[in-house]
Amino acid sequence: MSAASPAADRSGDAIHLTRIVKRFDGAQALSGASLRVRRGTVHGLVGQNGAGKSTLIKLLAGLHQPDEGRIEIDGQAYDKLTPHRVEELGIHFIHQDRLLVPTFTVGEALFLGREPRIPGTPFLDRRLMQRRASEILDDYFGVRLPNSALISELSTAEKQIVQITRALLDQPKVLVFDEPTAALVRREADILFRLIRRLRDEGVTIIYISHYLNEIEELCDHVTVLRNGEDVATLALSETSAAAIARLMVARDIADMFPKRSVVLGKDILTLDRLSVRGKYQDVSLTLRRGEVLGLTGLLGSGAKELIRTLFGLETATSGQIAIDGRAVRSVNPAQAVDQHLALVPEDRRGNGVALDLSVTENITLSSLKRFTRLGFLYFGGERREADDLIRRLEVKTAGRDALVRTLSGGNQQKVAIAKWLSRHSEVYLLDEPTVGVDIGSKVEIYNLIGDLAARGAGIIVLSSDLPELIGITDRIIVLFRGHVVREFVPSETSPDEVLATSTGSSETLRHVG
Amino acid sequence: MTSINDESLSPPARGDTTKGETIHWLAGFSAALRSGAVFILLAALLLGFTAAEPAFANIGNLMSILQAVAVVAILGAGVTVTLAVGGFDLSIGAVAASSVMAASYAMIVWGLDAFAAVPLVLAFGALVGLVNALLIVRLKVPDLLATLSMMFLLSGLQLIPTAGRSISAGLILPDGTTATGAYDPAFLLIGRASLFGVVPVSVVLMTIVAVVLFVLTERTRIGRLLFATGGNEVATRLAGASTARLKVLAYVISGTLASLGGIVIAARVGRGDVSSGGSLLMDAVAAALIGFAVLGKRRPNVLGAIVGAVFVGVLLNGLTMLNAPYYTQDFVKGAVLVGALALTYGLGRNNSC
Repeated sequence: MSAASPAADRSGDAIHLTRIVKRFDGAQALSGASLRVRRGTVHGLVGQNGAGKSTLIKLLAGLHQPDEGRIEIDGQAYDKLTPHRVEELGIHFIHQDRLLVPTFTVGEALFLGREPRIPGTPFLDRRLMQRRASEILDDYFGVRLPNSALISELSTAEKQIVQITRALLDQPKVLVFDEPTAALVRREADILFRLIRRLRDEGVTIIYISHYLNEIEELCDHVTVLRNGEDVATLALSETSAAAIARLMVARDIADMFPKRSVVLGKDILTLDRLSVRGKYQDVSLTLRRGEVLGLTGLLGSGAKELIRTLFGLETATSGQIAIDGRAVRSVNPAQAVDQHLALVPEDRRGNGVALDLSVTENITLSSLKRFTRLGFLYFGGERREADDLIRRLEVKTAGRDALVRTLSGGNQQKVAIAKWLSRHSEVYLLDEPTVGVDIGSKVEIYNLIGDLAARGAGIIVLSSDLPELIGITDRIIVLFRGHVVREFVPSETSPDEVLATSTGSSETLRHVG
Repeated sequence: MTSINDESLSPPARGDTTKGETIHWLAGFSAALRSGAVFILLAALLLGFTAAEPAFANIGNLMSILQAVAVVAILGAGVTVTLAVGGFDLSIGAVAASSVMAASYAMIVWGLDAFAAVPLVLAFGALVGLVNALLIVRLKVPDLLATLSMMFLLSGLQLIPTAGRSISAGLILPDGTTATGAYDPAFLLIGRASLFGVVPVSVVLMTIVAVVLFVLTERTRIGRLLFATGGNEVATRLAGASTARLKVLAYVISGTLASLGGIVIAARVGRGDVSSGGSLLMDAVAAALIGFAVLGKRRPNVLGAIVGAVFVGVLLNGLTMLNAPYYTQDFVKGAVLVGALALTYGLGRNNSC
């Protein structure tokens, strides 16, 4: 698979990190992780959320300093890396969500901080900027982006092209891609893969971080698997498979990682009949039963997120019916949805899920305050008991019920966000990416909590792009693609690859649907 | 019972019990010191001024201090409510000033009595609050900009009916006629009478506002939701509360209280002065911000705003008695504000966890 490489010097290591240890506030993010990347290869870096990938990359970027361990770049050891020094060494980072200033033009963004000047004058050499930019854009991407276009007008893929172009202007030695395809459609990803192979053949070293193991399999020469802050293996892709990598990432038995309670399903609790929001999704019909955990997945723009929002009254259905417990309902705002025992745990926890500067108690009782009110006055005793009770039941790790939610870890903040709905006695839970940014220990606790809720007769919809998670904790998985339900999976009979292929529209099974 | 649990749950480090307990005790003491700092300083000021000038502590002087801060305290309580929802009402000073003009105009030009003028002016304040809320909630104008523009608008509006003249009995109107009305003596009682000859009516009003708003914000569901809106508007809306209505409520309260402040000023002065209420906005905002430090709350709170206003009042009155020149007053207010904010944000931070 690897092409012949005329120019590249393939001997030696571009990057060599040895037994790196890094702690944050007592929590060990890395406990002796090593990473050795040979020059001119594409090196995959995989691991679950919380395995230490991003910490390792931030260390390499000079954003954090390691507590222990050794960093060698091109055979030379460095004690202290700074972002500036790293860029000088020719290491560039392409982040999926790297902030480009939206009001800048393409030209300004590309040359920010290193604007070429007309020799002998203080004036910007606009013509040179335009020429160099379009050379790279033409040559590598075959696209034309005028330097005067505004960043805010570009698509996600085009923004990424701008980032990569910015790096290429510097003739980088190492390019680090952090989840580059998360927001790309397959066709755009293919362009990216061709580019990465070409850069590799030109001698550039690539570090490629992704959740998608099929991409790793397709693209990388080697892969390093991180788990719990350590590297558990570095393998040549010619000698391994996505399935083997997945086993290494998870390590413990899938059954331990994803505790799935078997719950006897009860009556229908939520029924959607040909529900549509024009331009977002069409004719979605599904039934959720008490005790059921229903998985929902789909790319950005598939309509999955909008579907959840509609149920909670944040989007208005243009046609179709929603029924809860057999009664037709129509929520036009969250307040009505809450009254109908719906609960939404939004994806952006810190932004939308909890109020960081209110106490744990105030957050927990936010949606159930009426229960702790007598004639409009708050009844603090009942409120405190409720908070203590839920803190204990959900094992929320907090200094106390009066601690600000800001002081809790991500996983415990998420538990507070869910506790709010337990306090409201909600019956239909809509969980949007419930374990994003949550450490592995808390993840398992949240999965257990979902199992408990189901056992108590709640209906649960989990919207997630973490496919092993969906397969591990749900009873059924429904995949949306371009606004349509394209397929339903039984978790025990499918694989992350298959679900992913369906949700990206690349699966054969879709041909007749699309 | 809970306190026993708390202690048993967080035992001091094993093997070094006494030292651990001492540190624990010290931490508790310094936390108590911080949360009580404003009260301790207030007590120290009262004692210090009394020692330096015994006349300071007589009841008449103390009441005159409270009377002097009543308007600022009432406005400060209103600002606090808008701060609680994560907003900011910059128009309160202008609302109070134009309420002075409105009350005067109603009585002197229209010949209304106190019982018509007072509700009318309060309704005016509520209406301004409603318009503010409309700009902020419906049209999504940022709070500061909406209320800043409202401030400008009102400062100009109050000049138009009288062509820029102050309003007093015998006012000559723009059309050349002479106004025939006068201040209703009943209206003047609001600013000049005292309950049992001791407690000025304005101090009574301040106390009522303080108690009602304290109960509303700290003891009711609506109050909790006001703070929740300020804490995280989206999360609060997703929890099923109508954050739009809560914000409308906050600005209406703030506007109404500002016009109440204006009524008190009008009743005290007995005329509609175009330049009244100049420093009200800054003083009220300062009181509300000083309030953050009171009881270590570190968030807007009504009790704090009132205490903040009183604190500044005591300090200014005492310094005046000690012959400090009038032009040092703004400096003193500023210094108190800086100190209070340092206490709130800098020193208070480590007791959060």
